[in-house]
Amino acid sequence: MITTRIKPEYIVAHEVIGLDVEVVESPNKYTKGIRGKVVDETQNTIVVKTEKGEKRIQKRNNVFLFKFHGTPVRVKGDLIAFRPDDRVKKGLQMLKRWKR
Amino acid sequence: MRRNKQLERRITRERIEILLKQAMENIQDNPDRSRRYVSLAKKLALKYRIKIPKQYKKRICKKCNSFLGADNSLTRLKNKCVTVICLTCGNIIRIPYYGRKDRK
Repeated sequence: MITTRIKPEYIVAHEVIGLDVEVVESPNKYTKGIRGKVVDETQNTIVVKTEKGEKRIQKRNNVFLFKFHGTPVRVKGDLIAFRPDDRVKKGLQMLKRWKR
Repeated sequence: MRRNKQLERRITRERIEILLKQAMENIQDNPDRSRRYVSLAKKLALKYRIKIPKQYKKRICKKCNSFLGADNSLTRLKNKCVTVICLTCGNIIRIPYYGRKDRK
């Protein structure tokens, strides 16, 4: 159960597995517009389950739109390009740096 | 720059819960993915020094990381132990239980 209130910007540190995504911007026209549910994550990629099967999309250079606790959040892929367990520490650090 | 460890731990606790729930849902349909989720949750717990919640801890096979449900495990009472056998790797978990007389 998620009891604590988490700000939408903390998605950088939070779990993306199980969330709905859409690729909003991409240099590759074939990955742009992919929509589905995240089923796996590695350092450089996320795996999205779509109607046409599972697609592995790179994080860098792409912009994602996650639906995080009901609110859509736009995230640059470069911000979440860390190992899934590293992201809690490094993601929060990046947020701090970005806020300054 | 100082780390906000409390916030880190709070977030990690939620992440572990989410992952284990996903693992529980995926036991039947895709067991490999379920195992992957458990290993991710374990990594998080190790890194940020958080205990895996008690209700989940006995339901994870330490050897192959699979989440033990009704389909991939056998539970028996043997020799005053709750014996859980993981059917994917054959690992046996024994949790002893005692009556009042036996404890003396």
